[in-house]
Amino acid sequence: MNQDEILVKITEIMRETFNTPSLTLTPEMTAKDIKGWDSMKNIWLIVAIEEAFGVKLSTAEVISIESVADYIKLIEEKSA
Amino acid sequence: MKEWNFESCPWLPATPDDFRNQCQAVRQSDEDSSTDLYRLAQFALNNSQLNSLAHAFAEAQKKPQKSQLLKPFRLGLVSNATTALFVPALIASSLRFAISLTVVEAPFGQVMQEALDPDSQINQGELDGVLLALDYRGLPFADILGEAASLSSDTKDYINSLIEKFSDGGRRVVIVQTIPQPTEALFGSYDARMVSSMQRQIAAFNSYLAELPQKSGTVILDVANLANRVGLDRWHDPIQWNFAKLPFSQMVVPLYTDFIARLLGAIRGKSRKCLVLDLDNTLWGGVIGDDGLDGIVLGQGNALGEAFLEIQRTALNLRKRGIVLAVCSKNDEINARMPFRKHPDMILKEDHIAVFLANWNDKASNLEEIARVLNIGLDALVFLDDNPAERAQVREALPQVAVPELPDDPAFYPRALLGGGYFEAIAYTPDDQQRAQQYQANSQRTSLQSNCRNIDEFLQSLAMQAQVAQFDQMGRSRIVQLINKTNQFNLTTRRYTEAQIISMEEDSSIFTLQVRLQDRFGDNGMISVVICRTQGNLWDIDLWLMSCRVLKRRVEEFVLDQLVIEAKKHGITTLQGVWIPSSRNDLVKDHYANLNFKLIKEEDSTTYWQLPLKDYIPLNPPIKLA
Repeated sequence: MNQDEILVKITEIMRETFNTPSLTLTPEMTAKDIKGWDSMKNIWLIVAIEEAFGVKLSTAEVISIESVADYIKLIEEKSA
Repeated sequence: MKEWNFESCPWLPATPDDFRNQCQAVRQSDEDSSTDLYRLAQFALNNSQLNSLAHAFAEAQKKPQKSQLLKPFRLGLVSNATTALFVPALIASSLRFAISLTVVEAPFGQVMQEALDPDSQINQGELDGVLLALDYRGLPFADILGEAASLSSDTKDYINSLIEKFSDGGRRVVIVQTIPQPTEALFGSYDARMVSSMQRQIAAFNSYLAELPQKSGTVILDVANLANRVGLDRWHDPIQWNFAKLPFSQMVVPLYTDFIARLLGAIRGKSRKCLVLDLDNTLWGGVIGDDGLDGIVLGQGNALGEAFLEIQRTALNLRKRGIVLAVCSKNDEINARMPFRKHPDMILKEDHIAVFLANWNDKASNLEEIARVLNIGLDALVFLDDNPAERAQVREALPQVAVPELPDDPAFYPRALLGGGYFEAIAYTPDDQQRAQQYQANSQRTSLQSNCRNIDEFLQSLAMQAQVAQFDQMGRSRIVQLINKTNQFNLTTRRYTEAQIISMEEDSSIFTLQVRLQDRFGDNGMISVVICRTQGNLWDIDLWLMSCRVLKRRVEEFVLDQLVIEAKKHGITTLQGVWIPSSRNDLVKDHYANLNFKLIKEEDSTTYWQLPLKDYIPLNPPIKLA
């Protein structure tokens, strides 16, 4: 799965998680750019991403995530 | 073979690819979408699909909903861990059991405060029930290296006072979770012998919950067992606990919320009553019509034959519990009955089957016929069939019937059948044990009826006799059960908890009646309940219900005669009745008119009736007072 494909799938998950059907994502976006991305929903997002991509993120990895790009990079590494 | 994966609710059919679009369609529809929501909830949904459905449900709530398919339930959620993340999934899972759920969440960790403060969200929430979802990490357990008893009195006091406060004198059901064991054992196997180990303290706590008297209004949600089945190392996720105090892995949320929802369904009286069995490749291996008695696979010494035995054993155990068994098979009847009569390894016998339909009609029509003969709703049926095409046809034609999805290997059928929570119970009364017998007797009565020339002759031939008594401790759980699940023959559909019933028993201004009925085919158990409230020299009939099993037997006339006798003894001169329409009690719209009450008032479709007792002429139906 390349970076673009991962982005498409993450967009789908975020739309669902934040209940924002029209959300458009770019890699540089962070939590403060996206409506509904608070600390609670962040857990949801992590769980949904783990489920969708079949990966498990460690405590340190979760802490390190700030942007959409961070997710893409981690997923790419983990599912490689 | 597809693996049996308990966590993914494998008894539910796989979610269709266009599920999200279907949810979207519900959100955009202006029509009442209850049926669609119920249908969409029947799939094996994952977390995010449950969330989609919850969003669709929230949207649908904003539009006028006329359908009565979904029953409202207001649930308070109290926890010392984070519950917010599973609330949407819980709402969506409840739709699966036809519950329209509203959740009132107590602020994080404020368990005792919510209980004690009369103005708390829980105490002000007008709730039907409270779920006490406690995590072991916030309970007052003793020092694990101390010398305390396995369960400290602190812990007992804590849980007792929570239950007492939240039940609000019995007005709310309190659902208490048992507690899963942690994964860490300080000593290893020796923890099992250390009386103060966390393992022993939790085990003692769970036993203590199990022994709580039923009358306290508590219902147990056995999360400890659920976690064991999933596997404790899988159940607990330390990363998620550390990040957000999530009490268990989010992966098990769909399973966990299904287990809560089925309990809510049971509280609302939606547990199913009848198991309908297919025959070929469901109760035995092979096709009786083709393979013959010697050719079918059943019995010991063959792993497949053992698997089918186990399915039969499971069905028979359900019957012993009070679940009615029926057969629905595409077969010539003579072939279908042959194994029951002649195969030495059959555990199920013809006597165990209340309705036996073997013909070439489509299965949906046969299921309707079974429901009709037993006089129960389609929503009381569970249909077990190995054939995916038959399952799909029945689900499509009769969405109310529960049809567990089955794996290829029959060895797993008992898990699928019992795993789905179709027969979830919150109490078990002597009447429940006899239920299967009673329904069976009922279908015999139906055939007697066709042999009698007229209804009076039929009723005479039944040789009915009844006992009447005021409410008492013996009858109490059945009374509560009837009050909370009777929908059709129920004049007011008022629901009361056990604690409320106890206080009525002690209230001298309230007159209560419980009625049991026997006939030549057997004991029908308790079949009618009446509550009257005294207003001067008038009795207001607060509640009058009857089990539909004894419809058209003139039992209501018998009950009225008894009521009048009692009323006169108490110096009462008038009986007053009311019919409150509920969408499911049209059956009794004319109940009071039929009993010669006079209509005195009609308000918002509710009708009020009175019967002066001075010149009352007893109706004397053919039922003997025993």
